[in-house]
Amino acid sequence: MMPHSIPQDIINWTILNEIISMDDDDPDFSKQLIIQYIDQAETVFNQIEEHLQSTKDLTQLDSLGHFLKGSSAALGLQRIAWVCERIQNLGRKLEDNFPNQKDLLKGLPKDTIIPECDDNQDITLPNDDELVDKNNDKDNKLYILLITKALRQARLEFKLAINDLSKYYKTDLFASTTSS
Amino acid sequence: MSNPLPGMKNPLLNSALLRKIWLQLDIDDDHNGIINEPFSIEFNDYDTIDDLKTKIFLKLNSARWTKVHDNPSIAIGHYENIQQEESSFASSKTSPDDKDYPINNIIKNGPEHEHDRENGNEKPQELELQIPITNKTHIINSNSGKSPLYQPGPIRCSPLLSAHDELPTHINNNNNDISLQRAKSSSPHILSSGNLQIPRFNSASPYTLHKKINNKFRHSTRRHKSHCYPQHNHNPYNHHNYYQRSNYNSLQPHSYSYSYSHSHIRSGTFSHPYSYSPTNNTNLHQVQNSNFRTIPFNNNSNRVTPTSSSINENNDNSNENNFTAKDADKDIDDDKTETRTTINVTSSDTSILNPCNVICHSPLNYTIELMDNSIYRIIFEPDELVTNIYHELFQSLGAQTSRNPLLVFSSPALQEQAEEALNSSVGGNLHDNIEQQQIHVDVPEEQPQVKQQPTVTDYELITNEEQLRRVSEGRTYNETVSNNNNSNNNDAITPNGNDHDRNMDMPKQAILLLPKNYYNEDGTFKEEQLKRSILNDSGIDINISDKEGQSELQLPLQYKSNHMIETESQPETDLTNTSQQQQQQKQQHPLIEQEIGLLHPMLENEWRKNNIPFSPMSPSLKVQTPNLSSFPSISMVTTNPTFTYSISSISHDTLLSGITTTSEKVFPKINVLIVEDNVINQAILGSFLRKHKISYKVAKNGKEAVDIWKEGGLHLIFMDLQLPVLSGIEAARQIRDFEKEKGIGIQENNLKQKIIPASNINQAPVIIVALTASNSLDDKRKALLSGCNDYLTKPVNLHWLSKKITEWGCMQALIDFDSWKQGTSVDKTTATATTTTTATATATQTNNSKKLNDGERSKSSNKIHHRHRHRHCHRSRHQLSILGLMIDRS
Repeated sequence: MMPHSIPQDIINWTILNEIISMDDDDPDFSKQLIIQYIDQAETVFNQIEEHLQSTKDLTQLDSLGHFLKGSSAALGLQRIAWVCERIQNLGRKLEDNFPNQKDLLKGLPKDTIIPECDDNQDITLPNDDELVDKNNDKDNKLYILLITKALRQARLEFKLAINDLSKYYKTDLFASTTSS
Repeated sequence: MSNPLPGMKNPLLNSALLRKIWLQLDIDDDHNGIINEPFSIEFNDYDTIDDLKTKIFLKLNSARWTKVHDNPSIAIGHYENIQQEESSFASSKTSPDDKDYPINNIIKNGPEHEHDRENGNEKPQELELQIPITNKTHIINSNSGKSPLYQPGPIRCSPLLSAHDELPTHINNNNNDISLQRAKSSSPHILSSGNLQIPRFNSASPYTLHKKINNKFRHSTRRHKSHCYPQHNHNPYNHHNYYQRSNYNSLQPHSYSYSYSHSHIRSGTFSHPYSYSPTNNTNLHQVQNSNFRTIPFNNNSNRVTPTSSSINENNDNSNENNFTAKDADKDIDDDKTETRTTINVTSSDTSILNPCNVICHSPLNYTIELMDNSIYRIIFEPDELVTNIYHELFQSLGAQTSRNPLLVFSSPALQEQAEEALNSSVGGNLHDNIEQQQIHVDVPEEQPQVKQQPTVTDYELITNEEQLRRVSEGRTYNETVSNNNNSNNNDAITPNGNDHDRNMDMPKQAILLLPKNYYNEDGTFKEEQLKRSILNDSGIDINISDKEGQSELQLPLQYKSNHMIETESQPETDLTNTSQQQQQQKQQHPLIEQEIGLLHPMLENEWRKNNIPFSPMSPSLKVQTPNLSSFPSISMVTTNPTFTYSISSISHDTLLSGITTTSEKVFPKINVLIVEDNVINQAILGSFLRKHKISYKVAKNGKEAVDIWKEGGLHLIFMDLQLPVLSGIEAARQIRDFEKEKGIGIQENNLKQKIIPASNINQAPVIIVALTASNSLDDKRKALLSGCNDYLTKPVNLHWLSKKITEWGCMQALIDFDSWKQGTSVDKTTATATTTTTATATATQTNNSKKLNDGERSKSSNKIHHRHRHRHCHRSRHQLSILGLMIDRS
């Protein structure tokens, strides 16, 4: 069901280096951009969370996923972008599946420190019986559930990425966002 | 004139597509010793065949072919194989074109069909293709005017070939009515046949000339093939044909008077100019009379237009085809006696007027020339629009491939003359035209220096003025090629001499010494090879000549490539002139040692990387050090190390990928609008544009984009497709609609000036490049349909972005050259900054704190304020000249 699998590298350095190269012109440009991205991503995650809980509006979720996908991909944060694309497609009901966290993390380098998550447990999907008729799924329960799962993955990927970036910039990027 | 673009429903959309037409020279390979391959020529909506011819000459600039031909001596058309059976089309391998031309269907059942049936013994097609050309390569000096062909009266019965032999009849009596001279009178046939100064109408339609005489007279030119098949006169069956034609000619004479949308008479073809003798005029009157006489009998066939009578007679698909052959026969039977006289007169008349068959088909104007039994040569009129022809022949744009090119016919007489000139070696005594053709005479006396054969070395190192002098004087094969036409394929090639005149104010020349095989087979630039040879040889001098920043680089290229030696070693008058001018110029501006050398962006770039701050490491650079301050782009290096570093970091990549830094460094001065809802992406794109000193604005949704566009001054829009409020596709559509409303992009200036205050809005339609998030074809298709010119897939690769900016920006700059040059379209703040012209590029950074209002989604967006920098180096003709170069390569 997956169009393609999640990229192995957290950061596509080819893309990010293009942006970093602009630091020559504008010192700290890329770092500022990352900080801005962190801020944006957290905002979007919260918005998705909100929609999942209250409105359950798939269209909104679709466009939020698309939005974050754009900036994530532009910065080379390809794993986040991939998850965002899943959210987008789930919002459009183009897909009806989301892989388990364990499978998604499989491809990562072994030395990757998996950050602690609120809930490392996979979300158990409803039984097949409950999913008999997708078209009759009035509340879009399946998709809401899958997006919830995807959002959890997105947050995890986000932490992974920021950890890597913090290493690169030799600063705690999370700290710099909260401090500002 | 009626709508010139009958087939163009959406010119705006189509403007993004490449219009090109494939052509091939209709020449014998052996004869010319050159490889004759189809080539494509780009054309625009308003190009006529005549324009196309001009482009052919530009395209084939260096080929010998262009020296032997001039505009009126060539024609464009194709061969048409007219056979009875459909199956014969499929099997005719000698003329594969035939299958692809719909005209086949129009003509195939024409009157000639009947002849074929009678004739019975047809020649094989292989022969047919070759024979006609050689048959007609006679120079006819018909001063006596005694050719039997123009004798009035019944037509002689002559075998086909002899008729061909006598085709080009010229009756240049002094009594001739000059106004009757045909449009193509500049053809060598006539030039060589008398001393008359003949007016030259390259693109004028013969139609207009005819009109002056008599409307009805023109109809008489439509008598077909009487000279080719004179025996028809003795065959009652063929009388019918003539009868039909003459009848229809007289039926609706007015239908000929309408231009373009209706059928025209085109008598005469390029290779058979002719003139009228007074004796013929009497015939003309007879024709007139006969036309009048036939009118009463033909009221019942008014529904038939001339076109259908001559071409679509038996074509079931014809719209006008109420008329059938049976009808015609019936009519003929009724009026037989009346028409006989008409036939005799008109057919004889035809033999004088037009040695060729003339068939006209709406809406295209062309002549059909019978080559042999079933091969016809269709030649398009010089004022026919290429677009029309293309649509008629190939329907949709791009349907033509190199396998079915149109043919470029050349007047065979020219070649013949050239041959004769060669054999008799009386070149100097011949007429001008012939003199021009004798370029394959090896060594003309008046150009002794040509004898000197080029010594073939890989490249030459010139270290001092004396050497350069010696080289430039000693070698006439030096091609002076300016920056913007250093590729053989360039459309904008100007004659070298003119180039010099234009650049007279430019004090110095930079000289680029290029290695052997600088051009590869298709004339493209051999980047890799050049790079290698440059990098391998550190001893090459580097120098930049410049005074007051006016550094339009002119690179006289000394190139030698195996396949071009033929051309180069031939004495060419204009080339010699050029080199003379070159020498004169050099004497006016004595060369300084340090100004001779090689400048290549690649090398220049290497240089920057290795010398920050500038410290000449390699010995070859030492000489130049004192001069550097006078060169803008290099002083940029010294004054702004930050900037230098950034450039070199990018150009390092590009160096590896074999792309010149020129396109990285210099972008056209354009205004860009970024339409992006995501702050991050805005920031990235904006930063990239700032870095390249391109002024830009940002819109965060489609509606804003449309509003900003309405303010005017934009050249290029990067449009995200998925946007809040108004999607990118919808925004693009709206912009295109507005443009249409306001007449932007429509070439008629009057219309534009009436409606739009020209100061505010660009003259050219804005280029919209869509940024598609997904790679799906559907998105791209939607984007293009909505009016976008191009697309980029996100995440945007900055290398591609810069390529697109260069590509489209240059295009815009060229389209909208005036406002671009004046900088009227530049962002106001930037414009004021540019007025303070500094020879050295100062990287002034003005922190405008131009905040982008994007913040809805991001609290901290204000932190990254987008400092608006105006870093302007001297944008002089230097850049302008590079524009051409970049377009060339992209």
